[in-house]
Amino acid sequence: MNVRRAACLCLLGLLAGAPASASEDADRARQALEKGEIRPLDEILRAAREAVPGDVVSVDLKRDDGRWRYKLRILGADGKRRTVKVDARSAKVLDDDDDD
Amino acid sequence: MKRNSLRLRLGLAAAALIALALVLAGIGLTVILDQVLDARTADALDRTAKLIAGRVSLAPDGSPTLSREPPDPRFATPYGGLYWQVEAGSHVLRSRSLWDRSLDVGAGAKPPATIDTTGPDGGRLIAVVQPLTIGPQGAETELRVIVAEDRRNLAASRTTFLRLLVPALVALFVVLTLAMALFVRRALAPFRVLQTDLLAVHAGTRTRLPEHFPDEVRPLVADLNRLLDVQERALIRARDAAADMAHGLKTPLAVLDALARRTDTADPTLSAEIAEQARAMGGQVERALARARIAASGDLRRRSCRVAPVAERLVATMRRLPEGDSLDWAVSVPEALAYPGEEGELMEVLGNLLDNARKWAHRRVRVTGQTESGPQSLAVEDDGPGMSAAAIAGIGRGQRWDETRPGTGFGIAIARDVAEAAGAQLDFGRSELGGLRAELTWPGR
Repeated sequence: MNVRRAACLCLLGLLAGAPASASEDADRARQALEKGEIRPLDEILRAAREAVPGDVVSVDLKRDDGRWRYKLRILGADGKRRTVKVDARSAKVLDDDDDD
Repeated sequence: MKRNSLRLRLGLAAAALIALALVLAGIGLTVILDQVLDARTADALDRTAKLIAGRVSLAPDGSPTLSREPPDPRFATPYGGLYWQVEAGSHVLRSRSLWDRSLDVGAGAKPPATIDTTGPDGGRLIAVVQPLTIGPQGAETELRVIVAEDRRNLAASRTTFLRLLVPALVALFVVLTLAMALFVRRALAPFRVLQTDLLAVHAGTRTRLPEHFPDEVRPLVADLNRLLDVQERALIRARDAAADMAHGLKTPLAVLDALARRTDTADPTLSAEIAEQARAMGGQVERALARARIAASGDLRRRSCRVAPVAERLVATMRRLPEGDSLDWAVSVPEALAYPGEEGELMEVLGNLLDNARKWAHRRVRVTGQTESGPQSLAVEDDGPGMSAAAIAGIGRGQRWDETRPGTGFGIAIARDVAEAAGAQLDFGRSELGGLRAELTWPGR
């Protein structure tokens, strides 16, 4: 599990290391967390992984109607990619429907 | 170190075993390194495949698109060594590095698979295949993400590792072999001490070996000491027995001699015969006594004495004896010449030889020594009549042969006994002076 988690964090590292736009959303997330508007990402990931097991391959934070929402893409062991939306303030899984 | 040395043999065996162990360790480490490199590479490729899987989406025409390409610059360099490819049915999206080629891994690869394939420039690739299903329920699309790396990148890491490993193993070999050499030296130390103590016993400075040896060597030392003791006791007993017998016979012989003289007038032939036999027996008694005297030297102890002073002293004595004063005595013995026995033994041997020469020489007696490399020798020559071959052969059997001169006639036989007990050889031949040449030879050291 730890290896998985480490791989996951590395993956996130890769995401963060991507071009300028990627670090812009990281800045947004940091500011939102500092203001107390969202929960930390590890809680979000834990909740998402409980709902849908697999590797988180994409993380996206969006502000929708004044609410912060995480959109995660999780790759299951069967190769199926699912999109999981999580309420960033409560860390509650909103829906885990299939990939868009 | 001699070829037969236990230390050399143990050291060589240890070195061979250490070398074998280190070679095996080197092979094992290389195998492990290959596995680790493969696993690490596959892990990195797997992560890139998942990154791509997270970013891939389908265009309206069903062709895959990436929102952002993976960041490694090798993906953007033609034949850069790092490649990805996304397959969605007949639509295929490839990294720029693949340039004019594509990755071909076959359809049968089971997820998640690590396989070997051929790269665009002919090099071997290690590839990870990640199957992917995207799209809403009921309208799913099967995709395949392939990420591959050229094995030559791994070979570079392997070369670096080997370049460090080989000198490290060689250094380890040197250190371990030196440690083993020290260990063997330490382990065999009691035998070196034993050797020194045995030399002391040989030299006569010590009668027994000390008992302070390790448990493994102590039984040997104890047995050696017991042997030394037994031998000493046996020698004393034999010497005492021989001496007792010789002394016991002397009186009856004297009586016999007296009886012979008393019957001299009545029956001269019988009297002469009895006297003759009594004298022969007396000679044997002398010989037995001489043997008993030298018996003590037959043990482990190896003594030696310088020849020149003994020769000088004996010749000086001979000059004072009848028939000795008129002779021309020439002594030329090197100072370094050493006889392998006690001084008393040498006096017994040389004294007999000189006395014999004194009795037979006309004018000259010559004593010469030889101390060059090889056998050492000491010769006594005279210009007398010499001996026949038959007479020389008779000495060995203890035969009395010089019946024309006074004495027991056993001097030469005794000299030979004593010389042989010390490991020297006594030979007779014709001297260039015209008479007998008696030569003592013994191995050089």
